Amino acid sequence: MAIDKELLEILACPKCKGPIELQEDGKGLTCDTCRLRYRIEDDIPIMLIDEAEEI
Amino acid sequence: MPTDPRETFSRSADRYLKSTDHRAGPDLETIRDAARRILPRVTLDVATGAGHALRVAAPFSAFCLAQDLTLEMLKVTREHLASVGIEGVSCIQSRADGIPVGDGCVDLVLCRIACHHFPSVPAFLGEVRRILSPEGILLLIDSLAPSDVDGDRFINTVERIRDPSHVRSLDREQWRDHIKGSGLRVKEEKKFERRHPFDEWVERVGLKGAGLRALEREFVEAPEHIKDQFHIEISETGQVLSYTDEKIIFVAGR
Repeated sequence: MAIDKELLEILACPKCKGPIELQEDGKGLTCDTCRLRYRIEDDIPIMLIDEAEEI
Repeated sequence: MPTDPRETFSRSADRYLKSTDHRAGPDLETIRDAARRILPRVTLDVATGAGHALRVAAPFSAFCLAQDLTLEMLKVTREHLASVGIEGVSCIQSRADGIPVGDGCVDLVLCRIACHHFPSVPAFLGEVRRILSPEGILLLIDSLAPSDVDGDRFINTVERIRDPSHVRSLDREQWRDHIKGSGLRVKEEKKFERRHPFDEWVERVGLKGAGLRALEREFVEAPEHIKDQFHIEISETGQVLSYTDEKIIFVAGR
C-alpha cells in the first residue's frame, strides 16, 4: 500500500495549509513554504507540526 | 488540565472497535442517510476512533479519509474497515484543529463522539468551515451536557475521572454558539439517549484502583435528582450498573 493519488490531491501542510509534495523515496511529505518534512509511517502521513523535521 | 488523549486511546484502540457504545446507534443511521443523499466525492472522519462512522459512509463515498490524533487508532480503523470489505480508506495522523487538507476539498465531514476531547472546539469548527466544499455538510455527534448547573457538573466530573483526557461536554446552547461562531449554519439537530453499562464504560479506558473507586462513589453518592436525571442504576449490593446520557446530532453547512 502506498499513499493514494486522491489523498495527495487534497493533502495540505497543517501549518500553512499550502501544497505539499511526496518525497521521491515515498518516506515523507515536504512543505517548501514552511521548510518542514512530515514522515510517513506504515503508509500513514504523520501530519503533526511538532513532530515534523526542519529541512 | 486534561491529559493528552493519546495516553488513553493508544492503549485502548481495540476496545473502541468492540464498544457497544460505538458499534451501533441511531446516529450511524443518520450518517448513512446523509452519505447516501450527498454521495460525497470526499468524506473525512475526524477523530475516527475505530472507524465506525466511515463503515457506514464509505459505501456512498468516492474517497474516504480517516483522521485521528492516535496512530494506533488509525491502524485499528484500517484493519476494521478492511475486515468488512472496505478497502482504500486513507489515514492521516493530525490534530483536529490542524487538519492537513486544502480549502473546500471535503463534501462530508464526520465527527462522532469525539469533540469532548478537543482542546478547542472553535478551532476545530474553524477548520471544518475552511475545508468544507460550498455544498458540504458537517455531521457532528457528541455527548450533550444538561443545561442545568448540577447536571453539567456531574457529567463533566464523572467523564474527567473516568478519562483524564476529557475536556468538556457542552450543552445545546454552547454548541449552537460555537457552530454559529465558526461561520457554519445548523441545518438540523436531534437528540437521542444512550445507556452506558458501567463495567464496559470503565473497562474501555482501563480504569482501575483508586480512580475506579472514586468514580463509583460519584454515582452512588449522587443526589437523588441527579440519579433520576441520568437514570443511574445501582444494584441492591451498591454496584453501579449503568447510567444514561444524551447525545446530540448536528447537521451543519456553510
